[in-house]
Formats: sequence, C-alpha cells, structure tokens
Amino acid sequence: MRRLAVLALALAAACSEISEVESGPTKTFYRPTGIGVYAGALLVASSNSDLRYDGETGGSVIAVDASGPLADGPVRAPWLGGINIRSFAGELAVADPAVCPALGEPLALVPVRGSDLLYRVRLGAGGAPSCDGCELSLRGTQFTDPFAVTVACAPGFARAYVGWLRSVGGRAWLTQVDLTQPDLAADGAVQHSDRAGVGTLGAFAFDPDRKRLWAAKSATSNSAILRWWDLAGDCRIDVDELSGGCRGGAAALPDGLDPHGIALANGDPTRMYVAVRIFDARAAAVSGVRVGDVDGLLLVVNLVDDLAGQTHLQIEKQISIGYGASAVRVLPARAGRRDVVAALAADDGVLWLYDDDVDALVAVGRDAFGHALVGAQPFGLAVDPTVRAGSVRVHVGSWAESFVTTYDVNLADIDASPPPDPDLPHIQGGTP
Amino acid sequence: MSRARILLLGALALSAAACTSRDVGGQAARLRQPSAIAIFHGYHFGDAADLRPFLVIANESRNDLTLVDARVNAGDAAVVSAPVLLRPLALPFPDRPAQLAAASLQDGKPDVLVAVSAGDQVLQLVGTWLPDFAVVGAQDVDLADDVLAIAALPSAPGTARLAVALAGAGGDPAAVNRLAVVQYRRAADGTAVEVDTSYGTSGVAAGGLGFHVAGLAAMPGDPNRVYAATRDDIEPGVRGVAQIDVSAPGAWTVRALGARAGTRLVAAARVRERRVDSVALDAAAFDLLQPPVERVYAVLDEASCGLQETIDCGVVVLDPALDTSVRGHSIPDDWSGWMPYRAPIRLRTRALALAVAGPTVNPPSGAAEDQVYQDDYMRLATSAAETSATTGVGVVAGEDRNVHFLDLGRFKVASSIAAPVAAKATVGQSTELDTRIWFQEIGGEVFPDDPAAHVLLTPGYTPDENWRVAWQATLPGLELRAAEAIAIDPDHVRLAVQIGEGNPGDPACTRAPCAGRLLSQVARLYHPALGVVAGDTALAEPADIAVIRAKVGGAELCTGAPPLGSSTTNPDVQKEFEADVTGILPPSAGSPGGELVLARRTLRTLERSPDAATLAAWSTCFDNLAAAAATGLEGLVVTIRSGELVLLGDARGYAGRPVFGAPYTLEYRAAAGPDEDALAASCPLADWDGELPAPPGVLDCNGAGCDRAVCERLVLARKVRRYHHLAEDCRGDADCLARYPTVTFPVVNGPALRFQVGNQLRAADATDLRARGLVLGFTTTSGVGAYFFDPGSASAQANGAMAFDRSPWDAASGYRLLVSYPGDQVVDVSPSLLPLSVGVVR
Repeated sequence: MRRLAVLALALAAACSEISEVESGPTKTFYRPTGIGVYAGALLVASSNSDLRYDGETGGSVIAVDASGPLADGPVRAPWLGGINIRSFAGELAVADPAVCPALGEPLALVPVRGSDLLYRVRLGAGGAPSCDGCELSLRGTQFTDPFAVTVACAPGFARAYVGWLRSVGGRAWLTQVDLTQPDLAADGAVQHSDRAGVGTLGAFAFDPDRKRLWAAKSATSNSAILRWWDLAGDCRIDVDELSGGCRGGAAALPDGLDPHGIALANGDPTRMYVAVRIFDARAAAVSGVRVGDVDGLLLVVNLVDDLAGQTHLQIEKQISIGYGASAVRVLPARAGRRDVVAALAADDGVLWLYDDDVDALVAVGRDAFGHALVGAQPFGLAVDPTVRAGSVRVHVGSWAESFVTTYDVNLADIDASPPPDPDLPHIQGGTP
Repeated sequence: MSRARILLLGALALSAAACTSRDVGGQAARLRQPSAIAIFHGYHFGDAADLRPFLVIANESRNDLTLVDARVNAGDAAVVSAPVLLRPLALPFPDRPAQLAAASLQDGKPDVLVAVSAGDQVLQLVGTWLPDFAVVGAQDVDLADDVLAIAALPSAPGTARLAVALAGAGGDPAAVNRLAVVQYRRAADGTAVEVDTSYGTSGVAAGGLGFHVAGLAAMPGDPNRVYAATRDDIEPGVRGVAQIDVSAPGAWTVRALGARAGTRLVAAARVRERRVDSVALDAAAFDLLQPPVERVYAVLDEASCGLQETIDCGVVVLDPALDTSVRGHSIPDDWSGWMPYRAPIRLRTRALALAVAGPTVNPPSGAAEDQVYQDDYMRLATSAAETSATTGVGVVAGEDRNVHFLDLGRFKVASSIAAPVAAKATVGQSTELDTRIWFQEIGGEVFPDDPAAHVLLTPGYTPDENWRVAWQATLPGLELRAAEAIAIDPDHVRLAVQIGEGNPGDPACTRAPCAGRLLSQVARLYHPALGVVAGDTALAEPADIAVIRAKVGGAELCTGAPPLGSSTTNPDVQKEFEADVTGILPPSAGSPGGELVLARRTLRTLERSPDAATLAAWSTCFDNLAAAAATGLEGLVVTIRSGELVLLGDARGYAGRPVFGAPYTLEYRAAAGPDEDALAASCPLADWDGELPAPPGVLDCNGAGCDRAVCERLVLARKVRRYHHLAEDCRGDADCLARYPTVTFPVVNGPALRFQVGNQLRAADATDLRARGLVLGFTTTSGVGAYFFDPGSASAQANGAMAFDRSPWDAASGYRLLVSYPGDQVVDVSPSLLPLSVGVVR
C-alpha cells in the first residue's frame, strides 16, 4: 500500500511540475481514450495524458453531432458541448434511459486514473455534457487507476462497473455503482470486490436475461479467464457468495490467450466475441511475466451451460486480427442473421469488421505509406446504434493523432461497405 | 481496387524487382506472423532449367511471402536470400496475406500458386515461373465473396483446379457459402500460367451449398469430389462432412457423410487399414492384396461431440463408400464389433490444424530394411525408441502447442504400448476412521494384499482416469450451490438448484419457484447424467442426500449441526442439516432443470452417523424449512450427496453406484447387451443437451415414459466407449494374459472397470459401520503412450499444417509435416526418423 501511496504522490508532484495552467480544450479532442454515442452525438473523453494542459482540468468530455454527412479527411463536426474533467480519463460508457429505463437521465460515465474518480456526466437532450458535482470518488486503500467502465441495465436495475489497473497484490478489483441510488453514501450503493483473483478486469459485457456481468480478466502469467457474476436477487458483490453474495464463476481461455475485449451477441447471451492477444505462455510461466504478444485473434465463442448449470466456453471460430487486439463491439442486430462485429487491433492500427453470419471480413487497415487509416494508436471504439439507410457508423479514436475516425458499415453486406481509404473522415473536434 | 491498394501494389512491385537474387542460404527468414503455408514448384528465379519446390510462408503482418527452399530440411540454410543482407527474399503481397494454395499442372513445369489477402475475394496468382515471383495482376480472379478456404483438386494434365469456399452475402441460404472451382492452364508460351477461360464462366464455376464451410479437402487422384467440414446440418438431421461432386461445373451435388456430429477440420487420403486381427507394428499388420481405401478424416466439433453426446470428440474416420442414408452415418464399422461405429481417434488437445501424408516415393536409405518404406508404407515413430510401418500419417497441431502424429493405417494416435493397462490405489480416507474402503476379491470377502490385481480392466476400453469410490460423496457440480425451495406439505419440500429473482410484474408469481422469473445457474437435476437418485423405500433403494446450510442469507433457518464427519470444534463452522431426496420432478416453467422432492432424513443401513440428537436437530430444521418455504424460499446453499457409495471420475464425473461386497462393472455394454444406439432409442432424455426449456418429447421420452435405469446405462456407456483402437496382444504371454482374465485377444472387448469393494475393519474393536469420509481413490492407465513433438517456445495457436514428400531430393528426410505458428515460426518435422528430424524456419 505504501508503494501505491508513494507512486500517487510522485505522480501528483510530477504533474504539478510539468503541467500548464491552461485547461484542456473543450472543442478539440486531445489524447482521446474513451468514446461513446448517445442519440447520434459522439462523446469523446480526452485524457490529456501527456499533461500538456492543466492536470486538474486538462481532460474533457466533448459532444459533437456525428450523425450526419462528414467531409473526407480532417473535419470538425457540429459542436454540442464540452466540459473539462481531470486528466487521465479512461474509457467512456453511455447510460441511455432508452435502453436503461431505471435511469432518470442519460449519463456518460468516465473513470479517471490518478484521482480515482468516476465522472457521471449528465447528457442533455442532444447529448451536451454537463457536470455539477458529478464526480464520484471511488478511492480506496487497495486499488487505484480505474480505467474500464460499463453500464449494466435490466428492468429496475442500472449499475456502473469499473475495473482497476493497479492494486495491492495485483488483485483484480471491481467496483459497482448503483446508478439508481440517489444517495451514493448509502450502504451498498458503491461496492468493491476483489473476488476475481489476481489480474485486471479490462472489459465488460452484460447479459440482462440473467443479470450476468462478464469481465475479461487479463493473464498475468499464462492463464486468463472470463469471469462472471450473477447479479440477480439484489445480491452484493462485496460479500462472500456463501453468505449471500453474488455467485459467479469463470470460464478459462486456452493458455497463451489474453482477453482485451468482449461483447455479447445481440439477443443471444450464449454467444460472445472475444478479442485476445496471443503470447508465449511457456515463457511467461517460466519468467512470471508476459513476454510480448505474437498475434491477436477475434474469437467467436459459445457460452455453454453444463448440466450442473455452470457456464463453459467453447471456441467456435478464431480469426487472426493482428497485434494489439483490444476493443470489440457488436453492431445493431439484423433480423434472422448473426451479428456484425467490430474489433480493434490497436498496435497494428486496424479496425476489423466481421460478419458472423457468413464469415466475411473487412479490414480498415493502412494506406500505401503504412499509416493506419483509423489513426495511430487507436484507443476507443464505439458504434452508433442507429441504422441509417442500411448503414451503421463505427467510430474509432486515435490517441496519438487526437481524432476520431468514422466508418460507415453496410450492415447487410459488409463487403459492400465503402472501400476504406485515407480519406475517411477524421473528426478532430467540434466546430469552433 | 482502392487507390491505396494500387499505390501499395506499385510500391511493392518496385521493391520486389530490387530484391531478386540467386543466392541461397545464410539468413534467417525473419517471419512475421505466419498465417499460411504452401509448397509449390517454380523456376528458381526464372531459370527454366531449375524447377524446384519452394515452401512459401505468408507473413501477415509484414505483407509479404517468404520463400524457403523445400528440398532441404528447414532452417537458416534453406532460406532464399535477397541481395541485401538485411533480410531474406520476400515477395510483397498487399493487405495481410492470409491464405495460400498451390496446385500442379502435372506437366513438369511451374505450379499454380495463389494467395489471398485477409477478408479478400480475389485469388491473386503468383508468378512461379517469373524471375521475381511477382503477382500477375492480369490473372486476378474476383470471386465476389470472401474466400474462406481453398483446396487443390486433381485435374487433367496442363490444367490445375482450386476449390474455394466462399462466404456469401447472407440472407438466402443457397447463396451463403458458395463453393467455386477455379481452373488454370498452361499459357500458350508453354511457361506461364493463366486462368482457363474455357472452364465455367471465365475460368470459374460456382454454386451454393447452403451450409457454412469450416474446412475443405480433396481426395488424392479424385478430380470430381471435394470434402467440406461443417458444423451445420448437411441434410436434415445429418451432420458430418459434405461430399461435393464438382464434375459438372456449377451444378454441384452434395452428399452427407454422417459423422454423428459436426466437423470443423477435414483431410482425405487413400490408405490401407490394418487387418482386424493384427496388432503388429510392422507391415505384417496390412494386407497388400487388398486395395487401398478412401478415407476422410475430420476433427469433430466440440459443441456436438463428447461423453454426453452421440460420439466422443476426436478425429472421426469416414468412408465415402458408406451410405449415410442407409446407416445413419458413414463411419466404418467398429473392428471389435461392439460399437455401432468406429470410435474416433482420441486427441488430448483441441485440434487447430490437420493434414495427412502418404508414403514417400523413395525409401529413406539404400539399406535393405528401409526398402519397405516407399510407395505403400511409411515409417512412423511411436515413441522415442520405436517405430512402426504404416500406410498414412496424420498431423494435428494442437491447442496444447504440440504436434501430434496419427497412424492412419491403424486409425489411432502414434503410440506404443509402453505401459500395461493398469489400476493403482492412490488415496485412502482419513486415518481417524477405523475402517476403510478397500478392494476385495471379486465375488469374495477377502481384502487382498495386491488390490490392483483384483481390478479387472480391458485394453482399449479402460481410460486414463482418476477414480474415487466414496461413501456419501458430493455429486459432481452439485456442491454448495444456490437453490430455491417451496413446500409441498409439512413433510415434503421441492428444491430447485438455481438462482432466481422474483417477478413482481406478475401477480400470480408471488412465490418461488414460479414461472416467468429471471433464472441462472440452473442445474438440470432431471437429467440422468447428473446422477441424482431418489430413494425408493419399496425397492429398498437409498435416497441421495441434500445437505442444506442452516443460514439462509443472513438469517438462521435453524440451529442445525456441524457437517457430518467433521471433527472441527470451531464454533463458527457453518451449521447445516440434511434431508432425503425422495423424488425427482421433471422440469417446469419455474424450475426448468427439474426439482428434487425432499423429506426428513432417515438413517441408511449400517450408517455410523448421525446420532439421535443430530437427527432430531435436522428434523427440526426440516420443519422450519417447510414452514419458511411455504410461499417459496430463495438463497439456500445446498450440496447433493450420494445416499451410499458412488463412483466418480475426474473427467467422467458420475460413473455409477457400486455397493459394498458386490462386484461392480462399468462397461460400454455387456456381451449380449444393447449398444449405445439401442439404449438411446429408449431414452431420448439422455440426449437433452441442457437446453432450456427442454424440448417437448424429451422429458417423457416421446410419450413412452423414460426408464431411468435405461437412461443411466446409456449415460455410463457413453463415458466408457472404446478409448483406443489398438490393444495389447497377450497371445503367447502368460503374464499378460493373467492381467486380463476375462477378455480374449486380439479382438478385445470387455469392461472398462470391474471391481468389488468392502468396508475393511482396521482395528480390533471396529464395527462395520459406514462413515462420511470413506473414500478409495485409484487411477487407471490406458497404456497408450501417445508420441508427439513439442516445438517449444512461440508455438501457440498453430494456424496451418501440411505434408510434403522430400524424398525425391533428400531421401533421408522422408515425408515432412509442416506447421505454421503466428509466433514467427514454421516447424518442419518428420516422425519417419528417430530421433525426430526437426527444422524450424523463423
């Protein structure tokens, strides 16, 4: 614990020494890490992770209207609003009352590293963000640096789940925030659990039919799992399951596969898409640490209950997607057909689209000069749930180039989508 | 083609032109994410006098193809070098090359070699006759849908054919996953290769299949048939491998080769299979007077095979000559005659790639003893010290990172019978008990000094397994489970092992279990494979036991008692109580896995505990449970234990109910008994895959009512199917024959396990009472020592395998099995030699 405190102090000191006093821009993205879509508005959490701007106010959540036509190349979309937040934002999750009726208002949830905050940013009708005391401190003594976030919705149920990057003993901490609870100081409104064991929880998916939260727990040496909790019955995640806590389980991945992104199929919680990085499990087992990745895969897995009711994972298909497999998103459902999936290979800078119905594959890769069409170091992947003229808009953030690339996918036939080329729209922010 | 791609092609072509060289050797290949491999014959930098085989490796992340001289074993010396010292020769290829295929035109000139980018629809022809091996853009074949798999088909001399599985656009089933055949020919200049526009439409014929293709293969020498692995039904109710007749361009006809399950990898070969009565390791096992037979090998889809399915997982062998419409499948007969089909070749890993090799054209040496290893036979290592002669070899790259070898002539993994099939007692119970479960002489009462000798086993059926015979043991998967209960009356409670959440929107649903509720972790208690047994006092059958925690959530249902058999004095130990399972109810809307009927706990015969006080406490608990569950009770924590003895296996789970002092047999079938198909016809319930809700008709066995005793026989039979295809042959070996007194050789059938246990008193004042905690653990070994190759580091997630006969160039190298790994290496191994001949391209 002492080491964490020292690190935090050092980080704070370093920040204060090198940061400028200027707040981060609220119309221009800067080092985006999290993106989401609400009512056609593209929401972008900028991290200011190199502290070019003030550490206290260098980050931002900016909303732009990305639903309409966009010009090719660098472009600015109609600005809907923007606020400053602290630096070191993580992912961004949208809580939309349209799909989450238990919520009173739409929210964008953004965890922030270092300060260990969860911003519950309110969204106006058009998606304009606002924050009046929306910061929730999640600070604890055993963990720090929240990054992954998701929203879990079911009838009468709306919760946020946050995964932490660092902790004492390397435990995989999970935090649950009851978004329907007006008094977050009340018992049970915010719960923390490390029952997932050692590792980090880097991605989430939620099955409302069973109120089951899935989390990808990264591999620390040679084994990785998909962990799940059944949240029915108002159980607590911070209580031992034999004492009434939420019951869960784990589905093991083959040795040498490290999950970084998961998504459940539309309407079929027994089918999951998992982005994994392949690493040398043998070397990792010997050395105790990960020794680089050799490739990435998009796995199509079936989540099969055995006769005792415990869920296991069966890999049905595996598609090579290259280095840095990370986020996975499912595009809107198609009647009578399996889903189209978007997956990101962050290190290669490739956005992949996979049609699980016919096994078609599209790569939004690199141009003739080796530059990633979605920008360098893509961070953040979001899908606009609205289908417009048969197309679905997919957004990819570029951390290094501070823009968001949009790509329109033909939902019926991904191969009929526009050819990916260097002229894809790169949204840099809102109109001045 | 996008503007970017045109630019890239141009840049890459310039790069290729600058990188040609005639140098060979001296550099590492520096692979980058190999995604596919193939071997083609091409001119060495355009030299028509130097036609040679090249191994081509697609480097997905670097957008190029690496060439390796295939005439010599892989290694640095085999790499074809570029003039610059920075890297070996690599042919630029755009957009992540993901697939490769080569086919001979059978005219002694360069082959067809095509490559496909990831997610692309275009076969791009590589100029195997050109000095720079450049892609011949003019011969691109756009197939309009993504290429999923390619197989080379035999064709007439001067032509070459590729069968290509395509994704399709979806929607119309007939349009999904088309199969295209593309024909190439030798060009008029006598050297180049071009698309044969006289075939089909501009060289392409295509037709819909209506199912998803997971893999393709062709039979050597057969130009008319393609074999497709698929997880889908090929015909209604038939899964396996599709045999596609492509003799009429575009008018494909599909025939199902039923495999009793879906498939996902496929290969084909002509082999001779061993005589039924021969377990010889040399050529004597085969009858050269019999012609080779066609065989299709397919890796079964793990979603539809296994110990609770209609076939075990592994590599199934299919005979295209067998009519599935008549037999229900195209699997050859079981050579031993007991099973209704030949058991698949069992693998100890999940297969990621599959390929087959045939005999080489040249023997490995001029030695007289090696002359047999050509044309008909090939040498296969079966251990680090032994080899065998066989007629075909398969290679499986496994998820366990290893390269596994298959003896196709004997339809088994490459293995030697290094150790006898055996059993060994491993675990006893707590030394605090004054009795123990121990093996007895079968049919007697003696506890022998050498108990393992009194466990009867059968080579070929006895698996590698860890077993336990235990008194009142926890049934697999049913320990400390969340459960719900509702009282039937003060003396009976229904119990469902599941997590539920109420449905306040449904006023009729005010108590649990009830319909319309959110449910998870549902145990299919009604399924016979879970092994729960309800007591029947009329038949004197002991009931299984439900052990229930006294605390429900934070509330205390009753005082309860410490766990039975627990010697703890810790006052904080979780108290519990027990009840009898007196009935099993079929699934309902509220309890889709079925329910148990619980009643007050009764004492079993010779049960040492509980004592009267504990029994009284449990009775009070049951009263409280019935009262609390009057309108339903959630949050129970329950363990289900066997009423008396139970046999459990680590991999097989529930394996039946031995009793003290009587022989117990775990067997696939009795000699005159029904096989699994006959049992399955009487118990559709056992084929319930756990889907919720259970399909109508399953629960009552299509209206006939289910005989749970028959169901149990089926469940157990499926767990001890034939495990291995080659048994020990004890003929002429008295010691060996003594080990297996109940079976005959060489065609061996018998129980997987037969034994008798008793409660052995270990103290003079001990009494023959049975206590919780009595357990006898033992292991059985199949005697199968599978031989495989461990490539070491960076061998995860193999993505391709193929075979190659190197004997024309290097006789000693023999046949080669090549496996590609995304961790920047291709392994080149041959089990024709001992020690294994291994090369690695990195």
